[in-house]
Amino acid sequence: MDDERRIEQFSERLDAWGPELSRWPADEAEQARALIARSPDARARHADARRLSELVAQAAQADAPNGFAFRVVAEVQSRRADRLFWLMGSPERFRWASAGLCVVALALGVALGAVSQPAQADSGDIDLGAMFSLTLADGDL
Amino acid sequence: MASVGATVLAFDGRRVASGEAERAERPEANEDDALMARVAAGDQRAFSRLVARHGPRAQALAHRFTGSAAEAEDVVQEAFWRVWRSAARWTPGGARFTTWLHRIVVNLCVDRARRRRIRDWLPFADTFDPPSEEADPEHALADRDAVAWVREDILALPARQRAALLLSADGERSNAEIAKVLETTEKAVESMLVRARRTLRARLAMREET
Repeated sequence: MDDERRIEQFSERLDAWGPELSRWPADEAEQARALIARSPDARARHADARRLSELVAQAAQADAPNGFAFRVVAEVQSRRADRLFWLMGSPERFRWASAGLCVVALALGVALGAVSQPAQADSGDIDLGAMFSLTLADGDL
Repeated sequence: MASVGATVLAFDGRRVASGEAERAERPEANEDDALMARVAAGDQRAFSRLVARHGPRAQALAHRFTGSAAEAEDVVQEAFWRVWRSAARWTPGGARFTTWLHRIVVNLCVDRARRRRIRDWLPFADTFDPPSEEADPEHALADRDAVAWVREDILALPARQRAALLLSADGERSNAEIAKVLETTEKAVESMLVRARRTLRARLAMREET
């Protein structure tokens, strides 16, 4: 590859990876340093990329306005409170939310009942049904 | 993976291949994990600490993306609201908190830019969005140095190129980390950066000639 093509490739890598050669892959950085050492054109492009990078870094800076962090935290606390008030602020909304919760709990119970295995007769569990029958008989009912 | 609003937020560590290697070098990521665990338990002081640690950088990113300090503050407030709501689903040891936060900020900025483009097609568009202070031509005239030009030209870049360039500006993130924030490949980020820098260089050269 001739130097002209190498410089074009170097220029493209400068734009892709930035002018800080220590952040490049080691072998690419080594080749780039050698090219910069022997080519004035490569040096000029590297200097140009460095200048643009510094300008972009300065342009990207912005100081946070006074009280910014306080306002962010206050806004989040306010939104939390709003959500709670939204629910508590209307008996009708609260009833709907409660009813929804009941329906979900019922559906979950039915689903769990459908998938769980019934207890075996010889599993050693106490048969509460038999105890209840005995109690009824004792009471002459 | 968790989905919050219009923004798909992935903070499953498995999606971030080099996350653990990065953590070994950056103890602040572990500190963020500890703070997020406290936020998930409803600790407001931990939340305030997170805002103090990462809010200013998120604000700068949003400010330079939108061109307006006020709009940036709205974006950052919304981003931290999502952080608060999703804290319970945070997986410690996975993606870095800042990657996730900046992804939310960038997505909110891109959403706003998209909405603004749609509004610009509508009649009486000015009633929706008053021009930002930085976009004001008089303001730009008063401060015509190279940084101001570059700032103005960054605002004119396509949204994804602008986001990639701003995320790379401080030199602290690798292209791989920027790719994680933008949910794209490293190659795509390189391509965005090449196009963005070429555009800026060409515009700067043109301005300096005149």
